[in-house]
Amino acid sequence: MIVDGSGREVLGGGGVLPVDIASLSTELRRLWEGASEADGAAVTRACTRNLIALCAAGPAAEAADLALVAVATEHPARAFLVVATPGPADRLEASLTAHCVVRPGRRHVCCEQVTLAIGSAARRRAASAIVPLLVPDLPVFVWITGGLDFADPALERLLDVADRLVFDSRACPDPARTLVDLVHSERNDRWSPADLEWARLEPWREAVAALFDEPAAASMAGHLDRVVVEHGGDAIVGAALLAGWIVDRAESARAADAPGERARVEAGDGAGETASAAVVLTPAPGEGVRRVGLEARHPDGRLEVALAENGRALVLSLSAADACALPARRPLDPAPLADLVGRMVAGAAPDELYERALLRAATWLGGTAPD
Amino acid sequence: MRAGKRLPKRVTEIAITFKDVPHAFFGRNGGAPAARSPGGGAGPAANVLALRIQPEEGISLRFGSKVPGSRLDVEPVKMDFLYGRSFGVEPPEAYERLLLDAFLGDSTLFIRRDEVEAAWGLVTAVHRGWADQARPAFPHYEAGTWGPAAADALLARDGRAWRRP
Repeated sequence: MIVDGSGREVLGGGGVLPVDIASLSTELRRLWEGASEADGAAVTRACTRNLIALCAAGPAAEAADLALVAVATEHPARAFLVVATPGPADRLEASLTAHCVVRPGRRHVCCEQVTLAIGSAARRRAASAIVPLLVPDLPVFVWITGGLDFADPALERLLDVADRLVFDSRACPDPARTLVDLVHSERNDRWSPADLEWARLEPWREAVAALFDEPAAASMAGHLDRVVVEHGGDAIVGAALLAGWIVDRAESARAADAPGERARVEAGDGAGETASAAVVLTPAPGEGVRRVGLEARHPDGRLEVALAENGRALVLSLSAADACALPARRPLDPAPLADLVGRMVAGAAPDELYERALLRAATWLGGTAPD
Repeated sequence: MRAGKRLPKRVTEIAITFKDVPHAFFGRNGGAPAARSPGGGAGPAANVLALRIQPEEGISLRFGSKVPGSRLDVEPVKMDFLYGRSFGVEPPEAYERLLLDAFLGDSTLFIRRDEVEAAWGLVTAVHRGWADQARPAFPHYEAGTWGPAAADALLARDGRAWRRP
């Protein structure tokens, strides 16, 4: 029995079944026939997406396995867990398992999982084995748990059929380089990127947006002069994405204030471009984003979202004429991995706000504008 | 119509892709990126009625469903009918039925000689036409993929994309 992040029981339906890679399709069908016969009752099977996780063996695989079960509880999926193992380079072994979620009054089967243990030379073969098993007409999510390598033959093959690529820029050895590579990758308009770091920023984005709910700050959005984001060593990408989002929203507000006038907030990057809103990304002790400071001119004001000392809340403050409602505190609970992945696979449509923030972040971190 | 050898999956089916909704009420928040919608629209993924001839004979309907909750999110979902599951037995293999009909003298599923000759009359003319011309470059593709890039480009010209069966 597995207890997922929300405390619900998730039962393995019959355990792990080793199968021949060539007969995976047949075995998947048998899996459900067997489940029905074992229970003596019809088994409800739900599937609304395909979810493929690529990871290394060890703790990463264990974490991905648990996350897949929890994610499939909320978003029923045919799941594939591809585990890169040490040992024979041509290893390609498969096993099947079914996850059944117990809900009041009925047993609801929500997930079937194919686990592939592969050697270093079998990555493309593994991807080729997965492609025919994808459920037609449903979106395909590819989740990379480690570094993002577009030269990986498995990833290359899977991106041909993917609708969304989920990755974690924090897990990449060179996060800034990854962002630039991502922006320059040949996406063919087929798949859209989704960074778990963007999901981690959600409370920060909500807090920054809440700052402008204060009447005294509402008119400052289009007049931001300076954006400062302090971040821990692991969150340079998060800081750049957050700054990119703020600048993008500021530009949008400025355009709304003066229709027809070209927005002036364009950059503020390290390359020395002239910018009306300077963006400063400052390293600070600790992990993650630590503080966001915004300065506006006409009307003058300072707005801030900072991590509370205990790290469990965001403190909002506003310094401007006629400001009275702030400071305020908003809870900040660390999101478990399954929660972050679940948010990224909730829909396959491109996240336009993220992609606009990504373009700016890649420009700042990479020093070159994307093509 | 798409056919090929050594594709990722052995499957025969007819898929009817419905037109995109004329007004994207839900905007782009429709569960699939615009380019992945076979209809090429910017709204929710197009509805698809798939008649599966083999394997797993049956019919499936993919359509957009609003996700429960206060947000206007639309996700693609599927309804499946499988002969094997509904009737408890798998349909016979294609040639199993044909051979039995041949033994029994039942020509319902066969075409007549004059029809065969008429069909070859059309195809032979095309074949001879090809023989008179220089052989065009053939768009080869890697085994295990869904065909050459030229096939994708063929549909992309009209803002469409092949469906993944």
